[in-house]
Amino acid sequence: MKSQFLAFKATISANLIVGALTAASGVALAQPKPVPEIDFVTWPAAKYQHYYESSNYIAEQWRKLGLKVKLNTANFPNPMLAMWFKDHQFDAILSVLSGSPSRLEPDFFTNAQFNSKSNGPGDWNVGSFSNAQVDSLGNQQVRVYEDEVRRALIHKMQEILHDEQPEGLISSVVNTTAMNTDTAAIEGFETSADGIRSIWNLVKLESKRAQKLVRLGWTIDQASWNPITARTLEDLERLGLVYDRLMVVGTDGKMRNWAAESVKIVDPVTIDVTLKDGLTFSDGKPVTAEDVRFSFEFLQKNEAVFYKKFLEKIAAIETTGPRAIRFRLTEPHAPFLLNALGQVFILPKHVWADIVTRENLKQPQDYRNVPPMGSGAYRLRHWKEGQETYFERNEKHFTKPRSDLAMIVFGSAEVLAASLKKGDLDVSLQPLVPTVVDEFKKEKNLRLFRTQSNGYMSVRYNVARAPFNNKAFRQALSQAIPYEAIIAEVLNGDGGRTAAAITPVNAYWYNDKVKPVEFSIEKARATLKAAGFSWAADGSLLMPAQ
Amino acid sequence: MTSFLLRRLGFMLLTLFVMASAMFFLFRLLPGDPTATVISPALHPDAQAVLKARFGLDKPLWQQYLAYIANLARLDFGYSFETARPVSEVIGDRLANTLLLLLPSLIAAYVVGALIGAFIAWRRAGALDTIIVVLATALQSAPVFWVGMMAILFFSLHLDLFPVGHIVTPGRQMEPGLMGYLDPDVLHHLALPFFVNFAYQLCFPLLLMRTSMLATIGEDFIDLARMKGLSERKVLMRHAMRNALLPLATTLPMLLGWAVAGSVVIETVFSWPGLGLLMVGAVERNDYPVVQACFMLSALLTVMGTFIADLLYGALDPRIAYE
Repeated sequence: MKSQFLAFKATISANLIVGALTAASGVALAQPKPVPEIDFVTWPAAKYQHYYESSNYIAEQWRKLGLKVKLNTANFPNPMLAMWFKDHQFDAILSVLSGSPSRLEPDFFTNAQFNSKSNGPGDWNVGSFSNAQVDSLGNQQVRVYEDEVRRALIHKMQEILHDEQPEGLISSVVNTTAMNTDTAAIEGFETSADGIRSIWNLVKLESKRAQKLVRLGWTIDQASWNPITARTLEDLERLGLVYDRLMVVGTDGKMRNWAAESVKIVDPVTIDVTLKDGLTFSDGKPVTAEDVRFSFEFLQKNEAVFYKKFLEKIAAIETTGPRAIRFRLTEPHAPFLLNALGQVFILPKHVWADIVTRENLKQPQDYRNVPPMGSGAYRLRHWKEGQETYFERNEKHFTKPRSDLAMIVFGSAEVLAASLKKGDLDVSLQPLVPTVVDEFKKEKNLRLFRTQSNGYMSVRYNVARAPFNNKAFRQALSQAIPYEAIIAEVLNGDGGRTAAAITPVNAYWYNDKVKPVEFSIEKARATLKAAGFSWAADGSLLMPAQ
Repeated sequence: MTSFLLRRLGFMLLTLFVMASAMFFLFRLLPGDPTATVISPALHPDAQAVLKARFGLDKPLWQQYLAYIANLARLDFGYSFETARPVSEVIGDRLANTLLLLLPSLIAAYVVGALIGAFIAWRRAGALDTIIVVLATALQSAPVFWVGMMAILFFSLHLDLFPVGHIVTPGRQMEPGLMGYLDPDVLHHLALPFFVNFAYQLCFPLLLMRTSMLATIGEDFIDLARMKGLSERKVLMRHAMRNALLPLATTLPMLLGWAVAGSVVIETVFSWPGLGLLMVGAVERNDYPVVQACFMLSALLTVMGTFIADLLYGALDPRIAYE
C-alpha cells in the first residue's frame, strides 16, 4: 500500500516537472489534439428502454467531462451480436449479459472475458483487453482444483481488473419473482443467482392443496427435449429436472455432488467419479457407470451444440467399476467440474444407443425424446406444447421432491401476474415488472423473492482504440457513470452494485474487498488531469500531449 | 366461366408465389450476417458451423431459395429449427385451437351484427341507432389487447366468473379428439376470449349492414313492397335485409384469413395455445420455417377467401356475370 502511494506520488511529481518544463520552454511540445468523438453503441429505445436510457444517463455525464459522445443504436440480436462478437466496431458498448448457472463458473467472467487470447470471433473478450498479469493468473487458475487456492487467484484477478477497468460495471441484474403463500410453501429457501428457479429450491416447493401440485407460470415454452439439440437456458433447466447430472453448482457458486457420491481429483488430468448407489431410470433399470460414459461420448460424437466447447478437454473416459468412472483430460482444467460434470445429463444407454435404427431416423438429432426417460427428481407426465409441462415427482429420488410441478405457459407477463394474485397460479418463474412488484408488496399472501442474478450490465470499452487504451481514461469514464441514479431511476431499484463482473451473489468467488467505483465527476476530472489530459477553452477534452 | 376460373386460379398462384418469395428474402435481407439471426454469434464458431449445416444455411442463398420454393410446391414446409418436428405437424396441432376460438365467434358476430345492423337502420336516426353506432365505432377503434385485458380484469379478477386464460385448467389433461373440445372446462375457458373476439368482430358487420340497409331502404322496390300492403316485418326481413346482405356475404370469406393473422393478439392476451401464440414464440426464437408457414397459411386463406367472395358475388347477385 505504502509503495503504491509512493509510486503515485512519484507520478504526480513527474507530471509537475514535465508541466513546469513545458511552461518554461513554451514550444517544446506539439499542440494537444482533441479526444475523438466516442462511438457509444447501445440498444434501440423502443424495445429496450431501460438499456437505452442507461446509456443516455452515462453519455450525459461523460459530456460533462468535455467529451463528444454519439449514441448509436443497434438492433438486437442482429446486428448487435455481430458487432459484439465479430466486428468489434465500437468505442464503448452497453453490454447486458444474462445470468445463468453455467456462468457461475468463475473462469467465465474473469478469464474467458478478459484473457488476451480470447478476442477472436465468437469469443468473449470483445473489447480486446490485454494485460499480462490477468493472462497469467487466468491461465493459472484453470489448472487449480483446490477451491481455496483457486479463489485466491480469482480474487487477485478481480483486483487487477478493478484497477484496469476494461468495463464500467453499471449494475447487476435483479429479478423479482413471487409465490402465493395461500397455496404453496417453501422451507429452507436458498438465495441463489437463479432464485426460485434453482433446482435446489424447486425440489423444496410444496403445495398446500390436496393435489400435491405446484403450478408455476412462465412465458417460455420448451423447444427441445433432445439434449443434443437443446440450446436455450430454459430448455436445459427443464431437462435438468428429468435427468440427473454428476454434480450441480450450488447456490453459493461452489460445486456440490448430485448423482455423484464422490468426485476425486487423482491428478490434475484425472478425475474419478463414483455414482450414488441405488439410482434408477424411470423404467426401473439402474443407472450405471456405463450410462455415464455413454452420455458424455454420445453428446461429444453427435456435436451437441450446447456442450461442444465444454467437452473439448476430454481425452478418454473409462469405467473402472459398476459405479466408478475415470475422466482423463488433455490438460488440467478446473472449469470442467461445472461445465461438464455439472451440465451433462446422464442418459440411459439402453434408450439412446440404437435410437436411429429403432425409431427409423436419419440422425439422433431428429429424435423428439418425448417423454424423456431419465433418473432425475421428476418425470415428465405430459407436455402440451404452448400450454403446460407437467413434472411428476420421483419419490425415490435422493432430493425427495415435495410436490409435482406444472409449468404453465402464459402469453403475457401481465396476465401471468394477475393469475398469481388471483390464486390460479402458485409461483411466478417469470421476473415481475416493477409496477407489479410495487403492487404485490401490499398483498399479505404473496411472498416476493428478490434475486440478484449473476448477470450484469456494463459499458465495455474497446481497448484496441485510443484513448481507451489509456488506463486512466477508462478509470475516469467509469468514475463518471451515475450508478445510483441509473439503479434508482432507470431500473426502478431493480439493480445492485458490483465491483467485479463476478457479482456478489456468486458469493464464494466474489471478492468483497474490492469496492465498487464511486460516481464523482470531480474525481473523474482529477483522474484525467493527472494522466495529462487537458481542456480547451470551449471545455472540450484534449488528449495528453505527445 | 371456365376461363374466368382458370385466370383467377393463375392469379392466386402468382400472388402466393410472390408472397412466398418476398417472405424468404425479407427475412434474409436484414443488415449483417443473415444467419446471425438464426444462430447466435454467442455460440462457439464450431457449434455455429454444426447448426448452419443442420439447417441448410451453409448453402448459397439461391440454392436455399430454390429448395424452399420446390418444397413449398409440394406443401412441405420443412422442419422447425427448434423442435425438429415437421412444420405441418406443429401447425396442425395449433390450427384446431385457433379455429375453435375464431370460427364460432366470427360467425356469431356476423349473424348478430347483421341483425342489429338491419334493425337500427330500420329505426334510423333514433336514440338507439345513435347509441349503438357510437358504441360500435368506439369498440372497433379500441385495441383488441386492451379490450381483452379489461375483460380479464373485470370478469376474471374482479367478478371471478372466468379463468384468466388458457384452454383447460392447469394440471388437467384435455381429452384428445373432438370430444376434448366439448369438455365443460374447455368451454368455460373459451367463454371470455370468445366474447371478446365476438364483440370485436361484431362491429364491422354491424356497421356495414347498417350502411347497406340504409341504401336499400331508399330503393323503389321497398316502397312497392309497402304499397302491396306487406307487414313491416316482412318488408324488413324478406325484401330489405336479403338485398342488403350482399356485401356481408362477400366480406366474410376475406375476413377469415385476416382473422387468423389477427389471432396473434387475442391468443397472446388469453394464453390461448393456437396459431397466434405459436407465431409469436416462433418469431422470438427465429424459428423461420414455422413463421413462414404461419404467414403462408394466413396468405393462402386470404387469397382463397377473396376468390370465394368473387364466386359468391356471382351466385348471389344475378346482375353480375363472369366473362
